[in-house]
Amino acid sequence: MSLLSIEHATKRYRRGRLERVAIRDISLEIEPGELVAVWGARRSGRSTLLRIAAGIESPEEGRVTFEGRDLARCRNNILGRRIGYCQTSFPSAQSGLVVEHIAAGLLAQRASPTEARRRAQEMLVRVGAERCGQLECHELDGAEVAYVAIASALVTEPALLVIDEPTTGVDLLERDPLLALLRSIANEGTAVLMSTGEAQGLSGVDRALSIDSGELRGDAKPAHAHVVPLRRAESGARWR
Amino acid sequence: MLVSGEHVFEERGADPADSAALRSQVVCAVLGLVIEKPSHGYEIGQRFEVRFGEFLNAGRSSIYAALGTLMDAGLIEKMSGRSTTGVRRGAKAGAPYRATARGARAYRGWLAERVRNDPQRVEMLGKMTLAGVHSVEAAIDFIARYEQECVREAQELARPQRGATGDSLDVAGVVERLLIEERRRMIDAQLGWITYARAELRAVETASVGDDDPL
Repeated sequence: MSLLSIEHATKRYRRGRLERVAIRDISLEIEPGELVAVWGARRSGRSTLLRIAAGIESPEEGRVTFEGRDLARCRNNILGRRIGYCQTSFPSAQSGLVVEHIAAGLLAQRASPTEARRRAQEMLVRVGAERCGQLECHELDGAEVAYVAIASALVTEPALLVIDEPTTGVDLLERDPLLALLRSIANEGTAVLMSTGEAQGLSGVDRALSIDSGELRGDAKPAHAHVVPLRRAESGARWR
Repeated sequence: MLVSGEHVFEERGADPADSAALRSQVVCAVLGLVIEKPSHGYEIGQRFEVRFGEFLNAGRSSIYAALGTLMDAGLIEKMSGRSTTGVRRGAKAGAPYRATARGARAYRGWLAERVRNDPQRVEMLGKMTLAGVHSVEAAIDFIARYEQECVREAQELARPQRGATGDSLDVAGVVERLLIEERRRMIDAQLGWITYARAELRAVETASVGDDDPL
């Protein structure tokens, strides 16, 4: 059983009489600990695919299962817990300290405020963004926003991290370290599904797929099962 | 792994039998000519000389040997059926050769790999492309294969290692990173071209559908 399985998913968007097929009959399987990148141009369907993989949207046709469960039926229990969806931008109205922003996900799971703040700070250390904890969200630069977003998605210890264009808005020299972080997250056992519009985002991934006009190309299934570590790195270990 | 010299077909992702058959540029060129137009061996030899004589040196025996190789691999076949005189013709020596569907797929796969790997032979490849990719559908298929080759190469590029702040200046490391980045940007350019080419081909496709529409 795959961690994530998308079977013949199709999604259309309608505006008035116009209809656009965002993804078309896509099948994809992801195993624990895999790093999978989907390359595509703008409007290729890459973001729609990621939202469907994360359970944010449901396909009109086809089925998505996560850990064997139908994602359409139980996504409220899975999204934010077992699946971390990562947007590498904050809403312009976002305010408050970064550490509080990250802790919010844990508070929603009824962690105590003290515990939530402690774990949020630990997660910032683990992604190498500990310096950002006491900053306001609007004070972050592009790379810091990405690191904080990843920390925010990972704080609930999901089995799958879905991240849409992680290097968007990140300075050129900061991109490889960010992508290396995603590689190390996968090495620790958390599967990562990311989209990219650049060749840089494909370097060193386990599977590189491409999408165009909603059609996915490449290996929809891994060639072999990945070996997943039995336990995470020690608390406080850095991923960078 | 790409093999040098005459051996030009990349093994990974291709049918091993097709890979073995398409190890020679002469065989590939002959396959392209058969895809372009079903022909007898003699005519193929003449077209080969006009089209590829400048680049490839092959006599009549080489052309027939190439046809034999392609037949054995199932990439081409002899045509059968009724001739214009109404006389039933079998799959005999005098029948023209035509490409099988598998042969057309193998040819497009070979072309996609060559376009990416060997820019020095673009001129010859251009001629071969014209010979074997002569419909919008085939061109879109070719573009998709080319895209997969680019994506694979990007995947296989090493991620540059960057030392921690404060490391002594490592010029060799910097140069290595720059070389990787140069290759990445080449791939980005190729992928950008693919996006453009698709748009162009789809516009042609849409226009041709519109032309056929009686309304």
